[in-house]
Amino acid sequence: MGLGNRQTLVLIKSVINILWYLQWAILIAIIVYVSLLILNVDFFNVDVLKGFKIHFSKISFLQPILIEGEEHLVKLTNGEGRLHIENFNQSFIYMRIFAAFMDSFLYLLILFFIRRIFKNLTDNKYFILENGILIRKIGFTIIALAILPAAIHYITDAMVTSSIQIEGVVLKNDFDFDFQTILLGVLVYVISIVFLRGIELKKDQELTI
Amino acid sequence: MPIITNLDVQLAKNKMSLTELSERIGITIANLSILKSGKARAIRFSTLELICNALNCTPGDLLEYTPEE
Repeated sequence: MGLGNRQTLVLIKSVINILWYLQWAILIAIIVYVSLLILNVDFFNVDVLKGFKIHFSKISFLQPILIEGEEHLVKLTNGEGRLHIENFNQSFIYMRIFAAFMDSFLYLLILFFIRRIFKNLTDNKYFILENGILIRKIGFTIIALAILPAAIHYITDAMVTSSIQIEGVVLKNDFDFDFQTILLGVLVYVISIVFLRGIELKKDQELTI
Repeated sequence: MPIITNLDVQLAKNKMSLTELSERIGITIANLSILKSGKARAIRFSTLELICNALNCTPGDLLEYTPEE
């Protein structure tokens, strides 16, 4: 491998290492956050953090709004915001945290696989079976990353929209289908199949006398 | 694999060692061991020609087909 390639490899490895430790920090922060929520500590205003993202199809203002001297009925349509309910034990907040935890965990898993690939690359192990399997695992994890947290959010949204009734507000429940990430995961999976086939051909070549 | 190599039989018939065959045909002992142990996935016609020439045999003497049960 050329000196330039090795330097690029070392640079990418450093960036991945930073992301790896950053992801661990996020995961630990989530655990601390859950602990604070469970303990409901006084020094930390958890109500601020308890706000959760909701989607709405309509928010009608009950009172007419004065615009340029005239009163008009105003409504907001199709948007998202954070709903805060003070002094209320929102059980679904834990679902949200679980989704965030899942998100971080899957990112961590991807970074773990990438780090192992990079370790092999720096050890001059390129076309080995382990790398192919790791690429395939990355593909599956990316697909899981696109589906699992979105599914948890969808279930939570369903719980929220069915349990909260606010006059003039119509909450909606959308499955946040991340098509691009799924496509990326499928692409990585296809690359892993090609890579594994390449390894098989290399083995054939080596065992041809 | 249902294809079996009888390299050891042919070597014994010719009273030749693997090292000697390796020196004669210019193929490494490691590669010939792969062939002898049946781990090889393919064999080149050129290799087959060299071995047959050195051991004075035919490809049919070297290779045998045994159907898998």
